Amino acid sequence: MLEPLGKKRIPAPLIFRRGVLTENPLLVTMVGICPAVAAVSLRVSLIISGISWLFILLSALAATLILKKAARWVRVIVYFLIGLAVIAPADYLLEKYFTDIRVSLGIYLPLLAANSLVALHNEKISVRSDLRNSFLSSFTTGAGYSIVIILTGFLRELFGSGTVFDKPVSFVPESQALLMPFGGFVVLGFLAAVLKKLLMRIYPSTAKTLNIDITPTPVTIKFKPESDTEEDATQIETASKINGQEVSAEQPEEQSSSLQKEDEQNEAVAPECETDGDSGSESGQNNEESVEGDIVPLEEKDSITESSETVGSNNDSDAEEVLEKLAHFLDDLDKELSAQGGDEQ
Amino acid sequence: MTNTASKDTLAAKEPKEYLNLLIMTIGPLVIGWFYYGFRAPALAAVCAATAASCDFAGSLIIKSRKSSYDFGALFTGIAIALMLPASFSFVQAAIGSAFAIIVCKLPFGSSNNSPFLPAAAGFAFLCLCWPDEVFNYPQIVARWDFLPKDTAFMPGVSLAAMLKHGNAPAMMPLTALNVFIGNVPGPMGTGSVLVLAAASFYYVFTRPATLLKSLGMLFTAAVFALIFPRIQAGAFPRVLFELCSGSLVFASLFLLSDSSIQNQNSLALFLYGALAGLITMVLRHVGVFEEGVCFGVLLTSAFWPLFEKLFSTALKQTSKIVKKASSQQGGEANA
Amino acid sequence: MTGLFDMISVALYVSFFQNLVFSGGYGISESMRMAAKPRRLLLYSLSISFYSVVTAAICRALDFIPRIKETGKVTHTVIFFFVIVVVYFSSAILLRLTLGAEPKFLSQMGISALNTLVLAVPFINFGAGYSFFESIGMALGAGIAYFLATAIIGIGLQKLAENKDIPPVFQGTPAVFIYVALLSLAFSGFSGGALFA
Repeated sequence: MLEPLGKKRIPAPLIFRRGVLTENPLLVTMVGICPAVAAVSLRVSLIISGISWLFILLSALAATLILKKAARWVRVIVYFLIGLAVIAPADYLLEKYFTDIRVSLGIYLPLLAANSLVALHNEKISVRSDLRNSFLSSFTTGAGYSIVIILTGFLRELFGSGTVFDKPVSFVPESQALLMPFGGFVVLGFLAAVLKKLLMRIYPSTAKTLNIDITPTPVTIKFKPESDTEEDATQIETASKINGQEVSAEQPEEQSSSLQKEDEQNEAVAPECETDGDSGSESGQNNEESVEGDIVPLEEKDSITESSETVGSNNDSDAEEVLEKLAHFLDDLDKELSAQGGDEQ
Repeated sequence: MTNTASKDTLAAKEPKEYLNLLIMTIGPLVIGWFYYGFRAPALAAVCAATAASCDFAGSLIIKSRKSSYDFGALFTGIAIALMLPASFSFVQAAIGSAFAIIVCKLPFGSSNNSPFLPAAAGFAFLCLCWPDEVFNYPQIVARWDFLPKDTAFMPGVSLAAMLKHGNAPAMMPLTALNVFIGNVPGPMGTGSVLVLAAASFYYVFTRPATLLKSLGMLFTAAVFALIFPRIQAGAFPRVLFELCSGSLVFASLFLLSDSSIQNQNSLALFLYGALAGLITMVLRHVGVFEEGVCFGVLLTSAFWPLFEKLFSTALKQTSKIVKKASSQQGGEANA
Repeated sequence: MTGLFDMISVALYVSFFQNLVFSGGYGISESMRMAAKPRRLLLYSLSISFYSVVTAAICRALDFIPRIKETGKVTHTVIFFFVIVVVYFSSAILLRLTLGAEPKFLSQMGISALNTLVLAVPFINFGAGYSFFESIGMALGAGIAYFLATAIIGIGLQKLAENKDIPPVFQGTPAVFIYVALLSLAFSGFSGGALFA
């Protein structure tokens, strides 16, 4: 998955390969899918990819040069505002000069500012890398993203409308359903399969570690605090695995604390460079908490988009701490008020 | 509640399962041929051939593992054709069959392993692509054509369309017998409930448990039609028209073949059918298409595991409460 | 009473009949990623609902001001963005100062606040010309739609993980994309595939 590049000089072709192929944001990491759904024609997809690429570059530069010291929860706001700064002028220009394209984009144009790819890439790579690596990585990630968006738009326009750049193409049956959101997912699915086939052929060692295994974890929807008897809660359970290790519902605290320790170690030590042919195994060893190509790539603790499992039971301790603090706060307030009341008397 | 068979057992059953279904489609094909002439079996042949060739070519390209031929592709093509009007374009029908196989079957290994039934997905795809053509049913011609003829079909109005528009007066001339034997414009192979009922006897001898799903679906649809009628008519006509319209009976017999519930208990099978019936009737009322049974089948496949797990949890809770209550009562009695 | 009915009907509509995640692809990335790790799914969905509701309420309330109502789409875009940023920032500051929330928790809140699903709600309300209560209903429905979509996708992931017959080229993300595509196809039966916006 997305790995920090650190300050070591990583060869540009390697970064390019990662951004476009082995860590393709759409087809491997599955981020930023919403704009792909909007890519219903080549024209529209060119605009989406251009704006997204610019947004990724500018936000990566900002993250590397300015935002390293800022808190993560502040950085995401800045990314959002950078997105607005890119999209608002684009929106104005399209509205003024290319109204038909603006209409076909609908509300997806402003939604580009909330593209999860930007936050993910910047938090994983840009804030932890130097300027060169950050720029190259964001450039190639943007390229990988754009290529997929353009291909999606092209295929959907060709088979959905029977046109290319609004010029009709004969002998191609039109299936209007491909212009609908589900058509976007179908095209992405087959593009992902093509990419996987390509990787299996060209980079077989990488492809093995890119075994994109789906490792579902407990689907637990609890309506009351965990009790000793699990049957009390309404549960939807699936096979539970985190990184190949069986995890029961009672174990998440231990698991996430071990993940937290691993992540702290990873943060402290810059990962080793990938070398051709060895990248898969090295990356697999460096990041034990996430299998390369895992559908849930962000199992590192400090990921902006990591889901609840690594933070989940941390949230238990967070919640307890918060409650403790609240209790202390109320006690202090009570004391202050009673002290004030005593003074007044 | 869940008691799924092993994958090996399912794989061994696959060819036989689909062969049974193929045999059952003979009746609807024949009645379609009688009502709409040679075009009906020709359309079915085109769909089946497209599905089979896509399956064959696709399996070669992706090097999919297969123990034996499972007839799933053939069944998919024929099922899609039976739900279409006889006047439907061959090219468009072929596209639908190709979609069903390429998108819904090949990526998941086999029809049994697909999370959604390919035939339902293919028909749903056609509904989205060409909704006007899919629901543009021709008049019945009622002749045996052994060769294709140039005679153009006259457009007809189906039962489902009449129900969708609440057009009760248009339905008055229809007799129960005509509706039952499918002598009303509609899908070429799914209109004759009599023939489908006869085909269902095959299940009595081969897979009697499957009939529970069909009963669940039809029972729920009938109750829904009674409680929320779409036309102002007596109870019997309301239920009859609702059940005999579109592809409801056909779907209950042929499309509820989700592999994950093959070997579950009777209650689960009945509830599965009931869920499908409920979703289908809701779609008929609020959906944009006059016949939403294929979407209903797809949604049932999606929702069933969620429903099953919640239901099994509720069942466990209930049985615990009952056991606790009975043990308490037993304790009191002893005291 | 009418307002309440409108709110509930719109919420149900965008949750089930035109599920925002499947019919429009809003928040689909987060949904697919959360589907594999749904431990805090309910909390996350509630958080999305909260931010959607507050944002929708403020954006709709601002439209009652004639000067703002008369402005163009681009100005409305800027306003919606700033409303979301202010709501998230305020909630983060509030949690940090009063309850001492950890930065990680705040960044988790950031994911639920600054995503395509929450951002889409005010745009859809604006485009559809929804009333105040309908806007709130749409926002509530966004959270429900997200919860439902993620739960269903999660179940699908389990099925895919158990299926050993998936060809090697389709294992992993290809199969997931196609599964989500078929879910989206299934939900199209209600709306005919028409995009909400």
